[in-house]
Amino acid sequence: MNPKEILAKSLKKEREKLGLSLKDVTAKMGFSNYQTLGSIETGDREIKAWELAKLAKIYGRDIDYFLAGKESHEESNILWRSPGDSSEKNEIRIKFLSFCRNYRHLQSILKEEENSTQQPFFLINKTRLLKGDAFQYIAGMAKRISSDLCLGSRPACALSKILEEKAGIKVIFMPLPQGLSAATTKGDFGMAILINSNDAPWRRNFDLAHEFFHVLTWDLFSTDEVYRETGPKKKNRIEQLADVFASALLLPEEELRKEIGLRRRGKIIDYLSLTEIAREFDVSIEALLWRLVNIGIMRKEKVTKLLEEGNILNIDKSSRIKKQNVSEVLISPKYISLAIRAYHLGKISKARFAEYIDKEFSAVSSFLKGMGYSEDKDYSVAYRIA
Amino acid sequence: MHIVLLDADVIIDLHRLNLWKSLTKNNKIHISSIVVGQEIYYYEDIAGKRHVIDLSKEAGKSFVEISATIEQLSTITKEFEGLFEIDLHAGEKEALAILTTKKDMLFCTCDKAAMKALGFLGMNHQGISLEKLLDRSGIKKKLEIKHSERQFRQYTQEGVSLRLIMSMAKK
Repeated sequence: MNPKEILAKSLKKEREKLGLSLKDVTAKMGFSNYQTLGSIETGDREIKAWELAKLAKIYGRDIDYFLAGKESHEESNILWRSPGDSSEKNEIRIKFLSFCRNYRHLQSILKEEENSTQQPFFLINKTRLLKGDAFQYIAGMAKRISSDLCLGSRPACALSKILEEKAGIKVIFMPLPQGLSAATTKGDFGMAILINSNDAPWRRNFDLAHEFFHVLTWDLFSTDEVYRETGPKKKNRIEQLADVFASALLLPEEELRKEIGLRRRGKIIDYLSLTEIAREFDVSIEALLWRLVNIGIMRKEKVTKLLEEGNILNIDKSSRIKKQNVSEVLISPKYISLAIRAYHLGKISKARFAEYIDKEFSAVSSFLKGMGYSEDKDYSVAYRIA
Repeated sequence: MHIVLLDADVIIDLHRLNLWKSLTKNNKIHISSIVVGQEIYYYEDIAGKRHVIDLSKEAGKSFVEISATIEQLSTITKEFEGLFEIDLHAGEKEALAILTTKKDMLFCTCDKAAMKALGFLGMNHQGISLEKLLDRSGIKKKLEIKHSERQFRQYTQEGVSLRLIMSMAKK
């Protein structure tokens, strides 16, 4: 096969692998008919440079990937919180994996590869996870991991940062449509978690801790096992375990008991105190109430009733909206800082930087300005250290 | 009159500084097809007002749109394979690929990585800073440091050194 045929074949293979139809890509390319793309993929029509650049962008790849003529790798498996396929999900998948690969590339450029592809090592016993006392085992597991990662008394505050810095897990925030709160994947870039940036911070924290459980047990359970028996109102066993883990990780028992002890009046604790504690630990009121059930402070029936009535949820929601400044997260603070550094050191071009941060080229200057950087300043100055 | 290939940032700044017309009048301007088709560019003035630069409307009038072949693009891409020091956008790769066949063409860029790439490929003589280009075109204007000849030399030289280090490492 000549290079033209290899390129044509690899373009077709990539489109098919991503589950995109000729019609989908034709529309994105702005071609008037799908025969144009069809003839590019058969090698009958020579592809133009700008066409290749645009196709590569649609497929979430760099042009080098196609020009190098290498056999494409198997696409990474993504474990979504909710099963099922949709074109919207497919678009997110392409972008998410592209961010993961770019993240890894930036780490290589800046020689920060240490830990980046290494899966966090915590010995977990699958048999124990499937036994009757699994919830207790998981609580112990969360405690041990929290201590190993030095998550402290308010783990939610630093969880994302610590997972990236200490466990080498890439945490990517993207705006996701309703019903798609999170996902986990593993590839040659290491482990990565996707979180919905549209969600409230306390919800994102819980989702992150939940997905962390899937990272830890990635090699223990198959996708089928995770999705088995999952329905619109029913969570399967593994999803329940992930919730228990998230709850135990974000709400350490000793700390929680201390806070409850400070606010209780005999055997009574008021609504406001509970919402305050939830805020203190940066979790939702629901997460807090279920954790209180798990550690035997509240009864399951009472919590179910409280949540059904909805009063406590309303108090929590309205007070948080007023008191907390809900912050927006773009991709990942660590990823953004790597990209800015690589750009200022002249390792990546401005147009490439725009691709990394998923912004238009023209928007880069104001983006950098907003982050406190000037394009006309020399940031390459280095100092000798002991 | 020079035959010049312009990078996206230079195009935006020429519009922002109101120099586009005078520069295109004095030189034969080219822009790579990927840069033309990438997006509708814009810049914001001090008041935050957005000024649109739609290159597709100006192609063939104030500049010539030029494209590299896939073979040329592929050859350039191979030069950077496995090199973590320079990561370029497809538009810059296309510009460099065009330069390999148009020896009388000058690439005007203010991008550090692109300048390094010119030096790395031993093509620094085919690069020009905006400061120098304006000077040669008889246009006087105070520019930002990124367009200075000094910065251009610094980064193309870094590219030259990088090539040397790499060839020494290979030996």
